[in-house]
Amino acid sequence: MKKFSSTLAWICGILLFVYLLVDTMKLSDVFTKHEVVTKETPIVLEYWEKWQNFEADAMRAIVDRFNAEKIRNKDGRPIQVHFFSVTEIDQKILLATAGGIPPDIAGLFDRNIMTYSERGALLPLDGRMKRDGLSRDDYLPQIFMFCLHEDRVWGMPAVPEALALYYNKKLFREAGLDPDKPPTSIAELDAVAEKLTKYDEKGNIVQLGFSPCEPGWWLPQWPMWFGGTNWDGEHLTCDSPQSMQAWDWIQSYAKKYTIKKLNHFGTKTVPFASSQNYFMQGKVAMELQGDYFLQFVKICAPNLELGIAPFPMVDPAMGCVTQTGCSILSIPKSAKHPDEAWEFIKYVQRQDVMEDLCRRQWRFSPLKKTSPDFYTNHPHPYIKIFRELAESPRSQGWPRFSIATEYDDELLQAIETLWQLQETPAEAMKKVKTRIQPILDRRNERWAKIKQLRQKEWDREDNWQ
Amino acid sequence: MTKTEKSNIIKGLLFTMPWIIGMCLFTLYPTIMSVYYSFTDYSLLNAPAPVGLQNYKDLFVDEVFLKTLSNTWIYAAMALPFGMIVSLFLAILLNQGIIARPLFRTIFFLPSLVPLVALAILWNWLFRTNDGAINALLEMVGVTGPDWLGSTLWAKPALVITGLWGCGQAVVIYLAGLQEVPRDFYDAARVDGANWYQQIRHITLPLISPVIYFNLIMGCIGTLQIFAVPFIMTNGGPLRSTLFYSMYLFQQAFRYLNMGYACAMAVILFFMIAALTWVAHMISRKHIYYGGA
Repeated sequence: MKKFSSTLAWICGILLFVYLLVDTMKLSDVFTKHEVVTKETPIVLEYWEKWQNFEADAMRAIVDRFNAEKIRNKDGRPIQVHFFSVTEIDQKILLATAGGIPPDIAGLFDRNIMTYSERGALLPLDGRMKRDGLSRDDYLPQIFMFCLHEDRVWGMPAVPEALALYYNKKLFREAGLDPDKPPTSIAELDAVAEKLTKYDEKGNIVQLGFSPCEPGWWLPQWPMWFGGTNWDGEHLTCDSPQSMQAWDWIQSYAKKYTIKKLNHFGTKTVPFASSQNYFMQGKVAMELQGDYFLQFVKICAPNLELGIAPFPMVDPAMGCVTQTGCSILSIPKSAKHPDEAWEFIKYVQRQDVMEDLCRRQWRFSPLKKTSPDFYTNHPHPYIKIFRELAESPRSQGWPRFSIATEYDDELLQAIETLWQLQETPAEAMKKVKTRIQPILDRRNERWAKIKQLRQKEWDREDNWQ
Repeated sequence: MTKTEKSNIIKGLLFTMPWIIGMCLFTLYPTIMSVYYSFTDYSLLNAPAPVGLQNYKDLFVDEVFLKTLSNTWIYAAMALPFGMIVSLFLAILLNQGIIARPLFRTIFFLPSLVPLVALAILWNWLFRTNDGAINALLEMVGVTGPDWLGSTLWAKPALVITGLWGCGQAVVIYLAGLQEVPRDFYDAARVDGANWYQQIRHITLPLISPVIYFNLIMGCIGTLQIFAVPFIMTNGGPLRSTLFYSMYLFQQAFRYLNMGYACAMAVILFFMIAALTWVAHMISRKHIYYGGA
């Protein structure tokens, strides 16, 4: 009898262990079900955002403002947003969505939208926009395009970004250049860069005027300033004459200053958001940077005498152009509270809230309409330049097709090859096309097979009241 | 089978049940699913669509895959013997009757406790071309240091040197083996006139051969799966010269969402390691001495 009860106890113990192991989540549900829900019990939303430090603080302030206003859902319960600053957000959102436990609101990069929506990870928002009187026409088309895929809306803008030329006025003066006259063409930029570059007695670079690879974040996008693009909406165009001109230009810097000297000068291992950043130290005189960069400069190098201007085109007659981007607020497909998440996203779209957020992050507003005091009260003295650049019809963003990440990575490899003078631009770009075209064909083929099915799913998901 | 034997088996199974369940849930099931996904087009968010052997066919014409394969083998060929020799040498030194032996042992083991991320960042700074400590030391003896992490020639050796930082773990295992070698053997050898090298060659190495074999297998697995340090230090560059197998697998799975393709890579890696372990086992069968066996 004793033996029997001992075995029974063991069996019970093991069964309990298995139950706890497999069903932990459900067990916790059993306990939470005992909570008494009243009309004042808040619906708590989980919001994951990619920003850190002061950029995260800016959004946190908006979240606090939303929570303070005690906005309620359709059942009259108050909505509370819990903000989480998350690194490597795209991978974490992906895994959480695949695991069926995504946050209610996801602060994504614009490049994620196409991939995630095509794979069924996000909720379409057209129906919600229509119901609440929001329109695509309220936004700059150059920015709102990032929220779209297959002519559906997958997220709403948080803050946009654009790029321009940052230059060090003090170094301009020291080189005998007029600090109020930044270069207006690529040829002028090259000449100015040479004047601003200094060497020590051993011939090592101690001050660099400009390099297309510094900071090197948008290397594949350089064709934009030569009137080209790498993706024309249907084809890979990295070998178009304009793009080739851009790649030749990049390689000309590697030839002119030599890789050995540029590598010895070295910038890559220096943290970007620190006073060791070579631009902030005054070791690099000019670089392509985003609107947000000024806030970093003010914190890390407050005494830097800075000028900002549109980045020059190869031919000034072509006008100005920039690369645009946008942070996007989306609702993952299996979010627990999609309606309440939409309430928060909608709140951020309110002109006063959006302008508050953009001011806090030193950005321009993605809305077409801006309040009269938006620019006068804006902490970024050059913000209008970025807005005007973003409004340029030639402005472009990250190539918008499903294998853009693979394409971008391959372009980066090709650029590194030509930067190291291992291949000519023509050879490097031929390799990119040879590698990417079959991947694109396969992806298109698969998409053609599942497109209709996906469209039906989206119709179903967007059909709500 | 007697009643007691039956009861013992049941009890044994009950005791091992938590492990069996854990193994089935967290090792066996994912392994089986990986093999299944390797025959599908799977992006993690959609249902997998069967594609037969397509992923495997694509892999063997994928230039980057072949490059990562060769990078990994070259790295393993450099890091494994170098790491084993250095850690064995250190273990032999630390096994000598020197002053403050426990202190030295602790000092050599400590670096292996440093988190890999911190280690990678630290070495990134040490390897800097213009103001890194390593090149500064070389400069002091009149040698111009190379662009360690920016050159295709030096990036892999730089990672091998970085890997040595964590050899403390292998040193501890070797030390445990060395302490098992009976002193009498050395005394007898000395009486017979054997010098230090002969003692190492004919006594130490044969008697710790199971430990060497263990470290060889573990080192093999470790070097073929290298990920964290190059991921942080070079991110595969320059020109993909440090893009290793696991990094490309990760890239395919989590950057491009090609889970099926990544699973096919994982299956190949599994068989590669299994085959290598088998080969190592076959080769070393004659050369390993198990005292009690």
